[in-house]
Amino acid sequence: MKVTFPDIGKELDMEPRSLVSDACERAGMPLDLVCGGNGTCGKCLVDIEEGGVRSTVLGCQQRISCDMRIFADTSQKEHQLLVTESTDGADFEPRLRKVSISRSSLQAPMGGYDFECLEQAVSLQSDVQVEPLAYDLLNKLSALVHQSSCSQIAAIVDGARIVDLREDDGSTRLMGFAVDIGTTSVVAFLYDLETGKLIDHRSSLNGQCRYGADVISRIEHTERDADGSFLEQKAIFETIDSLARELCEDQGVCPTDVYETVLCGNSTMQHLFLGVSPKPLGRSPFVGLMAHAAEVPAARTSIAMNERGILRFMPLLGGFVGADTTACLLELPDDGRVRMMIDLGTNCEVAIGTPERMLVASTACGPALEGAGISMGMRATDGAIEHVSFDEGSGTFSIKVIGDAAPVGFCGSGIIDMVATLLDIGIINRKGSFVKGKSRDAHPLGSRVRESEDGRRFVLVEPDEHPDGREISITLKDIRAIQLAKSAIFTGCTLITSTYGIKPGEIEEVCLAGAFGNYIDIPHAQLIGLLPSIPDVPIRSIGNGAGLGAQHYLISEKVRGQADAIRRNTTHIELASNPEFTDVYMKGMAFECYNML
Amino acid sequence: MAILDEIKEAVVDGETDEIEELVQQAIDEGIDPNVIINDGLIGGMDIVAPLFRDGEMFVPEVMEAADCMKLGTALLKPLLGDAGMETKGKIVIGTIDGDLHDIGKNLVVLMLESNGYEVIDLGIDVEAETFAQAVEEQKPQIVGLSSMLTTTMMQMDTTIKCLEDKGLRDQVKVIIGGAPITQEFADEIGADGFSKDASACVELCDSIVNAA
Repeated sequence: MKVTFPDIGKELDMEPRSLVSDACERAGMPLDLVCGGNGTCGKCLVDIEEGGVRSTVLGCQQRISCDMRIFADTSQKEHQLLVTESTDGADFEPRLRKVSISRSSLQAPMGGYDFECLEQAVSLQSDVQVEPLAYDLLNKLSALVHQSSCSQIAAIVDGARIVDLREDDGSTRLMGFAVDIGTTSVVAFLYDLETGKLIDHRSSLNGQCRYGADVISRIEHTERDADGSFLEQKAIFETIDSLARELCEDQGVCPTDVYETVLCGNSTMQHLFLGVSPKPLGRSPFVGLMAHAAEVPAARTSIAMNERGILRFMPLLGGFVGADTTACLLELPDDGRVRMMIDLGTNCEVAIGTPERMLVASTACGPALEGAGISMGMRATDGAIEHVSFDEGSGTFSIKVIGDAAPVGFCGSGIIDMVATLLDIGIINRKGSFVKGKSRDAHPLGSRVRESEDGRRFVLVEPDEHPDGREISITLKDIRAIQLAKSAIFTGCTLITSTYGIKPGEIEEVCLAGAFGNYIDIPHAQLIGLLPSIPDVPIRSIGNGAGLGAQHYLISEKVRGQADAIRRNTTHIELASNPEFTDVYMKGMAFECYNML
Repeated sequence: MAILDEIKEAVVDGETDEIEELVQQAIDEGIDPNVIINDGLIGGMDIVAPLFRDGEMFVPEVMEAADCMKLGTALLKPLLGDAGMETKGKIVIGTIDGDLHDIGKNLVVLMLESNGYEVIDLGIDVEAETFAQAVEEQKPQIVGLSSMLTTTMMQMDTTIKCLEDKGLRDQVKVIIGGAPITQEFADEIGADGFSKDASACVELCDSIVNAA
């Protein structure tokens, strides 16, 4: 059967009765199989055309019975991601350098040696005392000096090591990638390592999404399938490779000019990138492989860059707290002040302290804040309600939908606004339940609280108010899921502060990292107790800290030193083993504008 | 008897400050301690269970209700005489090896105790051997395994195999629960039952004990 992908210009031959999702995976356009392909989550909806009829189907259930066209969900590829501004070349102090040497200056004296000549030339130009040349470059050196007719030779120096020697005809450039591997999305930044300037960036879904939506299901996949770790490594290599190729093609950069790729991501992403089973991470005592920065030779990956280049995964901090947190912490000012950093994502990490002494913990907040497990929850793509507010004058809600489309569901920031607004106008009480009985009848919006078999729900958009006749609502069970998630974060903030040995008022600033932190309405998040509100302590978003941290790491040797210091000075704490945990967690479930305990 | 209704209401509302006073009042009025437990305290928990199932009441409120139940029972136990409290059965329970989550499991324990079961709680991160030992020594009718993570739930299979190896499997019914658990998984590993939440767990145990 012929399957065409008109949007990405691909064509495949698929066996009859194979799944649409398999075809998409082979075409390099993996669908989001959150439920593992069981046909229950509805996240893999895709548009197809068979016999001239276009329809939307569940990719994990639909089988191919005749020639078919499958359309890319462009909204998914370009879904709302926070790619914060570049580093502006700040702290440019590259580890990698290109040293250009004239061949004539490599003429050894009588009885002398080629390498020692090169060593001296490099040291004269760059102040770096290089190590003796590796075996596989000795041949190359001899050929360049004695056989070629080139006038300039470029030595690519990584720290104190020459990693490549090549003819330098003036077009040789030195480039690098910084990659932020999120569980869901991957962002790649292309840098010119000779100037420290950001050239461009690209993002896409993490190809591992086909194996599960969150880190736990990815870990589980590696346990279930003997090839799991290999397949997940292959998937992330492919994702990074396609971003790398796209960047190089669009910017006219030759992949052989790329000599370094710096990566950050959570602990599971590190294991899977290294092709190592993250199984020990999945259960107590949550042991990881290596906290130090891990180096992988480019030749051992399938990623488009020079085969003599190197990939470096940034250092980890303990348990589930990985290199993404290290990267975020690098973005906090280095001024000795005590800060709290909250990284809101699929997994929420909390840190407190100064670079000299830091505590970190991960909270079991689950993916509810990103819309998963919410009846009408969805990713931040077209049709997602991202903001909700209530106008008391007119007594109506106003909603903001991504892509100015008809609303389909809520993304994380929309759910938080929804809950905060309902709390504010008294539709839900402090315990999280909808008003009932007389107070419901007396409330001007009480009639929007409806009964159904699965419990009660609040209708935000009635079918007759919706262009496609849909009802948009939030259920009591959704609110319960938000309560569990927000209390997990609240508990993390509270316990890490008390473990650090200070009072909340002694924190000088609360910083939010992660894309999500930029989109949520902070006062609303504080109103429902999702974020701490401490009198006189400012709270601000630092944007996509992980992506920025990885970029800084790429272009600065000093930042690499700081990252290593953070690794040494940070202690990971396990929240669940704190005797106060249950008490704080229970208290944190109510909707109060909290002062932390 | 108005006081029993007041006790019921106090349990539902989680009035931990008032419950002991109300129970004492009922005792002073000469009401049979068994009646106070069954019609007052357990009566209250019977109202709580369906409200929790529908999301109308939430974990912290259910915990408070169960605390009321505990406080009240503590006052009444000494008055029950030699017969003590009637129990429906004995259950050994714990969170599986490698898993540290205990809030859901604790809720199940509270609900079971509130419904007249004697529960032996082995805590968290409980190895298969420990479960087997408890089954051997305590001779419960039911053993309950809890897991919060998909990465730890396979340990349930290990625990069931361990019970089989020690020849204990026929002596108990194994029931399982936790966020990632499904009926299919329970069938796959040969568990005798699964429940999706704490109130459903009480119904499950009732049906097992009644069938015996």
